[in-house]
Amino acid sequence: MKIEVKELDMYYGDFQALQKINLQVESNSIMAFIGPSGCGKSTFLKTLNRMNDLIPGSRINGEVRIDGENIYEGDVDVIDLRRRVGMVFQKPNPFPMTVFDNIAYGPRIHGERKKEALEQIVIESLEQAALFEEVKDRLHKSALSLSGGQQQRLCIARVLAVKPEIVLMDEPTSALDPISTGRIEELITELKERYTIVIVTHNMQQAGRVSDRTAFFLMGDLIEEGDTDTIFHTPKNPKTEDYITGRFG
Amino acid sequence: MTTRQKFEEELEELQEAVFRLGILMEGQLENALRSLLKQDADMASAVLQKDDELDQLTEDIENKCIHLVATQQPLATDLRMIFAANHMAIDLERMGDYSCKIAKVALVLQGEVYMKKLVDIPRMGEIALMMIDKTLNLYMKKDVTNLSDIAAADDELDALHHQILRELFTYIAEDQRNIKQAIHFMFISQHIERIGDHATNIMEWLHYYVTGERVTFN
Repeated sequence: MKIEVKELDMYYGDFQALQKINLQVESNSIMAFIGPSGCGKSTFLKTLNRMNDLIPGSRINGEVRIDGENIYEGDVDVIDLRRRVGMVFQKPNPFPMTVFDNIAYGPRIHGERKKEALEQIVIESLEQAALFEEVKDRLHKSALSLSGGQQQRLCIARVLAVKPEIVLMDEPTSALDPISTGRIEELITELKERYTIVIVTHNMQQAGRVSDRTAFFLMGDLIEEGDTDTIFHTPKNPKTEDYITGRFG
Repeated sequence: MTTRQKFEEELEELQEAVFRLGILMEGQLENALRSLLKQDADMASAVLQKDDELDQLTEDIENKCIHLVATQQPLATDLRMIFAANHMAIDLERMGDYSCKIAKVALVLQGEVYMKKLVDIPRMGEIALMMIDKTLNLYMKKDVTNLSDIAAADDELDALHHQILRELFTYIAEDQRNIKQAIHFMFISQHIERIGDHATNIMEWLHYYVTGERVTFN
């Protein structure tokens, strides 16, 4: 198992946002989190690379293990953890710099200084993110000149540039048009060969199309987790059925 | 009205349309068999005329299913309900076609003295009608508890069909003037046997709709 979560509680001050979450994610698989707004799925995603540490008053009980190692134990290097567990956000957020520098930013702060090595990383990352052909003549132009879909793939390339093992995606296509969404979905499926992917999505069909397994969250509880076909076809829990069929949420 | 409420209403309408098609189909089989037994040409013609209504209703159901899939992107029970409705409609429409074939034989044999009193064919008809009637009632109740018992009646249909074939072979062997009627009765027996198979298909779709599990009753 790439990720193992055991009895995870998560609090924002007095508010308990997650309750006794138990979940496992296999290597080189795609796990989708679904659930209504405020159910805890994005919060849970952020516990997987300790992004929640940045929020004052947040604390957790329980374990999150990556390759068997508890990432909440004292001596974990959080910067390295976030390199290993990269994150793509809802809205594309390229840095206000060139396409090249956006990708090279991560490797540079992790110590890579050689020009040839950085060029190699930029090209490889853009190729993996299926963006290289579209931007190869614009590498030194501002990333902000790219379309929304291209910017999001640039953000994925930026994550890939630091050679992560896991990629977390928080509604990565919610701000994109259907064509760009399709490109990102294809990309997610291709990336599975090299990375373990966890994606939060409000788009049920997207979860159905791209993921191997799906977990349904409701009010901080993990209600049901299973292979995606089963969750969308014959869910066991009536709450899952009610949510995916639009009876509430 | 919320989108979900409207969708619920459309699903209900779809289920009622399938039920209505089932009731129409039952009437067709009943009348086709009656026209054969009573040698009633008017009734047989009425069965043939009414088939257009079944075809139209089947097409309406199929269109409704396509519309719901395209506009509602259904999942779980909703998705199963829609696919089951589509398949059930196709099976019911085929059963209607077999009823027409029986009515056509009734017209062909008009005015002829039957070589024997028809006993087992009406029995097959009653069994097939019972299977359809009970299945439609369970469909409206989304209930699968007795489905396998009802499906077991298909074995009786198969056994009666083979018994009829054996009997008709002896009539042909006895007197070749029996060939024409015997062949027609063989086809009728075969049509009812096929209607039974379609009834078990419908039960399988009902089971899938309610439980999500694929089973084989035939």
